[in-house]
Amino acid sequence: MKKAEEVGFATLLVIIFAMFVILGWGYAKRPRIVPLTLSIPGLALSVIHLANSIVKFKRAGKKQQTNVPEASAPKPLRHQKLSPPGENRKILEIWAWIISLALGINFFGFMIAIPIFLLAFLRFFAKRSWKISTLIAASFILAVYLVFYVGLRTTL
Amino acid sequence: MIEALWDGLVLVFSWPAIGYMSIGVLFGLFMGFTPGIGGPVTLALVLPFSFSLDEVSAVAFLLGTHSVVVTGGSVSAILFGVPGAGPNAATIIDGFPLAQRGEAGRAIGAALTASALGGLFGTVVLACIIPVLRPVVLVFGPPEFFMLAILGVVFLATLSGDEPLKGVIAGLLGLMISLIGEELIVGTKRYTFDLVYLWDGIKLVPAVIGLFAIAEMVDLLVKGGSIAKPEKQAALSSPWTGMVDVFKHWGLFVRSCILGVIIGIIPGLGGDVACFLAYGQAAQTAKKGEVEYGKGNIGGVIAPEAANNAKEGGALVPTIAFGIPGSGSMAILLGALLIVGITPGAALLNEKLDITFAMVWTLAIANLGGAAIMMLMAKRLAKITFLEGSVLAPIIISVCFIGAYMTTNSMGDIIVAIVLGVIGYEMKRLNFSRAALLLGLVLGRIVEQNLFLSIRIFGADFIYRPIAMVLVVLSVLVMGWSFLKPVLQRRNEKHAG
Amino acid sequence: MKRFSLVLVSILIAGGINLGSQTPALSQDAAAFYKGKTVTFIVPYSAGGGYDFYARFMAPHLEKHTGCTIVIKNKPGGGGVVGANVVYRAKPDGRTIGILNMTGAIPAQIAGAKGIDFDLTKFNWMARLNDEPQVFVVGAKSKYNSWNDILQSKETIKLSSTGTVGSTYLDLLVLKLVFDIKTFDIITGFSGTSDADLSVIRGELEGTASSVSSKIKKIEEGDFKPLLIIADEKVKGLENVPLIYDFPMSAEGKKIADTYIGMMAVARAMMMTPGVPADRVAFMREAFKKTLTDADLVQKAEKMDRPVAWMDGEKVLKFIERSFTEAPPLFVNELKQIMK
Repeated sequence: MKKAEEVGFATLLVIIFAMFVILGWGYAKRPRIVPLTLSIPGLALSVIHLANSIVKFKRAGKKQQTNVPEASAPKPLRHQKLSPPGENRKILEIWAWIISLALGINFFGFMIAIPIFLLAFLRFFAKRSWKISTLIAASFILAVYLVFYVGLRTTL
Repeated sequence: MIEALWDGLVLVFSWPAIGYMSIGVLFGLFMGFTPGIGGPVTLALVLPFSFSLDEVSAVAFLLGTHSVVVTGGSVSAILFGVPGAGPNAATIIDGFPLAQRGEAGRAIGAALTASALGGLFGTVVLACIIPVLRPVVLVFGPPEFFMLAILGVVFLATLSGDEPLKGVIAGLLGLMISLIGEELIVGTKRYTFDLVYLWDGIKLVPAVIGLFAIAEMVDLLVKGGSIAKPEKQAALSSPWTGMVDVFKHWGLFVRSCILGVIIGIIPGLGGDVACFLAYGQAAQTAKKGEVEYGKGNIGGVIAPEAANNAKEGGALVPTIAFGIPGSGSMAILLGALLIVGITPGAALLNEKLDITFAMVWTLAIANLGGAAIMMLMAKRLAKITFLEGSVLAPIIISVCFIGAYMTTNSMGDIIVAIVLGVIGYEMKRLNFSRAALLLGLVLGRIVEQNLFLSIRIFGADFIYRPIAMVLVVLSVLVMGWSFLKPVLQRRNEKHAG
Repeated sequence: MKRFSLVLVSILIAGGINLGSQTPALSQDAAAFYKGKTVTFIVPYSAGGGYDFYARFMAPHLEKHTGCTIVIKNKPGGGGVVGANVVYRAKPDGRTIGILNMTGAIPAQIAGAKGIDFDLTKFNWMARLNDEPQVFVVGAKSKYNSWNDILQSKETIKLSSTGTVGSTYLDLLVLKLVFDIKTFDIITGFSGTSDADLSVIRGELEGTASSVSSKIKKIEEGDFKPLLIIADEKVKGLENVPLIYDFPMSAEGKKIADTYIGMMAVARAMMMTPGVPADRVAFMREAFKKTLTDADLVQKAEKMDRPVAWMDGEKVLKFIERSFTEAPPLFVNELKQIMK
């Protein structure tokens, strides 16, 4: 699974550097010197890296085929060690929470979005009780209020 | 001069000056600890309170507040991976991994000791240079800035550990990101996609918060558990161990202080560079058998924290000598000094020398006092790293967003933090050096800007200026060393095996 | 779910109460309106800078004269454009004010720079904070001792400047255009005026220019020799330095000088969102007048070498309008070139 991730990230890097080079080419004489001097080697290196990771990925694939009988042993179920597909799901879920917080801040402001986020996260992800979750969410936003609005007299 | 030295000390300890300094120190520590709120904002907020104070009290208050911001910030960098202030960014690279190994107490102890002693170092140098303040500042120009930045870039090579290709790619990525925005030479807006937010480029604080803090929090949530894995030996988590570490690594410490002071003295490089250059320099000296840099080497905490505080002593130099602020916070300080009736420049150096020394003493005492206060709380604060991650992480993430947002009060900061958070998380999983990216981000613009300025002012042979040449030689040596070291290590292993 | 609906209902109720109290806005007395409310003072620059400083400096006085609470909000970006946009697009109830660097904003609007949502002539101008006469200086050891020396020089004169959007660059550009100087080599790229100054003090570059207030200290210390003042009246403390008008210039050149000095005359000014009821505009204008003519504040400002020179908001508007109507095409073209 990790090898696939390597390939994915390596591709992203190539795309990013390619963008830097293509856009950099369009700037005037002076402003494009340093960008091109840095991004062209960057592009070259990330292409090499991409090639490397593809090769490793192919090799890992071949190894898996010969190792199939051993790989089917079940892993112990502790909440830390998830098999790769489960882990990926968890990662996406966490990012979804974070992005929701950002959206919440954007549309409702900090003072509303943060307590709701904390409450929901502590209750549904961390699986704490309603009481504890509300307590933590409330005390945190109260602390923020005191420090920023009362103490520093700024708004968020 | 000795008289003024004594007079300054007396002034600082007199009431109400000492009272105001204490309040300032407490406030500065707190503001430093709160992520995202750094030196300039803190000073801007306390400034109005100083208008009605007398000269000495105002100085004690403002300088007292200012000098400890980075001290307070180092603690949150270690505990949560969140930079308390811009200059604490480098401390996270090894500080947070130390916390993850249960050694938060030790890391904090080392950071505080390095901060306090580094600050002292800066003030001593400041005091000694006072007679020759002006000529010293004038020695450095764009060619020297350029070479210093190149030296920093060269350090990138060693930050990559065992996969140099990834390190260089990360560094180049960081350098490119720093070029986003409007450049100063002709005014072209590069890579901004017509977004006004990007005109001023990607700012350090949201980037660091994303790259390190948010990435680490996601990692924490995925893996479960707490920041620190439980059951670590008591000795390793004691702050006093950290204090001893500073003395054990005294060579590294002194080098970082010197670096910090020099960068502080040179206006135009910006304070954030100091901690990264110090970190980069420390990484060069990693010995075999030590923890790898980036995974929790105590040197990676000592170096930037020493440089941070030493730099503040240095930054006072051009501020006092010319009225040219050595850093963002100094600019505010300058304004405040003027209001209170203290005019920087020859007058301050000749007639009001006692006030000058009062400033020096304030820096020294505030540094020591601030570090001592945090030290007392260190062990208790370190316990936070043993709390359950799924409860701690959402709180830290919320704090991260607030801290990032305070940079420009716009959603752009939060978006930057998230985007870099995603990149940083992947980099962590795939063993790309985030430190290298960060170093590139800090240095990119400086390199380009000073390169062009140097060529325009001096022509292509700007490199032959004496100090610049010294730096060129140094850079070549460092580059050579970073290639030789792995070769030599392999040879030693062959001999041993 | 129940908790969520409770929250939702309370938000709606609070919103409703709020709306209700604002409908009869026009008939309310301005003073009663402002009493106890929060007014946001937008500073389009980072915390700790000069403008931020001024805002925090004025805030307590404004609070005293209006009865409201002033909250300072930094909205940096685009050289002031972001913050100015925020003030322009805010709700027109009089609770958003801002401060602006006109020497950057006016040229930006003249040149039609991207990203600008505002029209400077539509803001409700509160007052001018000060004007900013500019001074052209050379290093202490420079061989040039007077502006005539500069005009008659046959050699290239290398000058330091920040980016192309600062007053430094504009000063030098205006001088170049007004006197048709061919020998200026303006080296841009310094991070700030401090760095540009240091370069001249070090002797690397010949000279530079910017506001008198930022240069006066170094002039007094002997690091700089002032050669020319860009303003239409003598500057206190630099009475023996000639003015730009003391030297012969073409008719076109004079128009450019007039336009630029007109912009400098309102260098730092405070504004309010367009469309606010007239009585509130007048009320806040009065508050600014009292603040900026307060003897104590003026004296403190004097000590900082940042003198305060109040001018009424209506007059500020006239100056701004003139900048747009009278700017000569040559000048406009040059500005468009820089700001594309």
